[in-house]
Amino acid sequence: MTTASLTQTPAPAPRKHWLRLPHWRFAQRRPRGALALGLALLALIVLATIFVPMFSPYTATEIAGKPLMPPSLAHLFGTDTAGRDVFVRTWVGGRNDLLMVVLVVVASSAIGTLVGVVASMSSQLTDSILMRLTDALISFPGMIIVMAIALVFSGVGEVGPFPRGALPAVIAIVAINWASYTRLVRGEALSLRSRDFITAATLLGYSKTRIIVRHLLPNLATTVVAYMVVDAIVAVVTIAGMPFIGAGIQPPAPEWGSLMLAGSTVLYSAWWVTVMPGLVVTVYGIALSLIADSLLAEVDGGAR
Amino acid sequence: MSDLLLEVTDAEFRYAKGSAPAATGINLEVRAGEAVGIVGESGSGKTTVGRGLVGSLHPSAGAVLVQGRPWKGMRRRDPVRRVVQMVFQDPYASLNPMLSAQATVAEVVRVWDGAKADVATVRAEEILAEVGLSGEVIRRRPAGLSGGQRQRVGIARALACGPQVLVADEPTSALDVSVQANVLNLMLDLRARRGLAIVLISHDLAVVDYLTDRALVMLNGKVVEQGDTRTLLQHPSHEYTKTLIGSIPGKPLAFSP
Repeated sequence: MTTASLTQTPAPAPRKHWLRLPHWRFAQRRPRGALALGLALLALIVLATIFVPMFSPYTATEIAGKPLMPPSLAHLFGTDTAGRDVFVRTWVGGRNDLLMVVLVVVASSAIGTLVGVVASMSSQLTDSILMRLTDALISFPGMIIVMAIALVFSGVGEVGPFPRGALPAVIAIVAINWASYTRLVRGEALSLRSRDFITAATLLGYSKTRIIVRHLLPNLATTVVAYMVVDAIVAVVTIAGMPFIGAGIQPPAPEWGSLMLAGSTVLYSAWWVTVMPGLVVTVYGIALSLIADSLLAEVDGGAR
Repeated sequence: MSDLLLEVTDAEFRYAKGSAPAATGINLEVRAGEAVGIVGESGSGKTTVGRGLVGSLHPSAGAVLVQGRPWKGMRRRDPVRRVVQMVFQDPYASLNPMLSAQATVAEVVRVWDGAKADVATVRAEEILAEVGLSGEVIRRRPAGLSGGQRQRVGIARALACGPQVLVADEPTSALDVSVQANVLNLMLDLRARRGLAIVLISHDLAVVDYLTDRALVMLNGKVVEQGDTRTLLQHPSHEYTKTLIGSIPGKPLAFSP
């Protein structure tokens, strides 16, 4: 017994994660459960943004009742300062926000991944040029660049499903946001390049394109997708913050940020104007957080 | 045509310009069908020489010739590239985690023989069967395979482009002892069946004794002794070789799978 206890190696301490919120622990213990819950909550929000505006008796811009009516059966989220239904405005605003988020995340990840992979596979000079450009973008205060770019493109009106101000905001965010994907992807790609299966591919005479498409990108996918989900939370916060600096979707089109901004002046007397859309944004954040954490837990588990 | 496949002449290898050489004064010839061992402790430069042999590290002095031609400047799809292939030490890192065993081998067939997908798949099945893998196992990704099975896939991938030399860098050091014997026997079998030349890089003298005809002993980036494996292990002349042999627990040397 003594010998056994002397020779026994102590079990390694569980890895600590910087994010120690309850949902992270849940995601780490039960990644599939967390993923299912996250997807279900997100699906609920997406479905609501599609179907609530279709079946609501009110439109997002019509005066539906008296101003600042508290939540009731007629107006589930109450009415705002102009008497518009906050419930339908929340979901129409959500649709506008989600469309922008999808565009921001897809465009940023595509550009960022492409630049990151090219940098990791290029000569030292090309890599240095691309990464200094990326560093410069990352080191600039993001909101100032977003404001400047949004102002340059402020003349762009309504385009397809995007209300006025949406596309300039998307362009502005993508213009700085791709850089973070580049940093992430280049680091991961460099780490993958040192793995023997990439050396084997090189020795077998595979082209750079084949190595990137068949060997690097599929192995980067989980990390990039996990980051895209996290980025979708950051993007919605950025989009929601834009009305506070005079950019983003222009009134009267609703958007989560502008809804909450409008309610901030009457927060104490009519809390529902701010809190109800805020709750939806919170649920959206938790849903994506659960998805991202479960994906990260999978990556973490796979690495071990 | 000469049966000289690999020729290393006074080669010196450095990992960066101006850095100390990782291996120097290396001379080695590998002929068709022979098995050569490179032994030494960690940091002795044996893996560096292995990398030089497969063309992933170019010599800073001297030459490494494959069928009389230097690796440097060789086109990506030069047929001479098929001559030398590598089997890696770590079966966990040497396979693409996203590709099945079958897809891994079929890709080589598609690239080198220009075969269509269905033909490449059938050919991959044949090659995998040759290394002892068949049935549902070959459709698994590396995560679903054991260490020994992964190493077999690595060997099959190397075989898929029809090499004449296999450079195996510690191919069994990450495997259980029972699996080690299987992999070594597979390599012996392939050598006999395909007439493959094998360069085995290992710190394990018993493995080198079991598999090779000729061996080089490396110390601090230099070859300190070389010759017929059995003679070298039974009558070592260099002190370092004697120390290496003396440090093996449980002699005799002969590997007994």
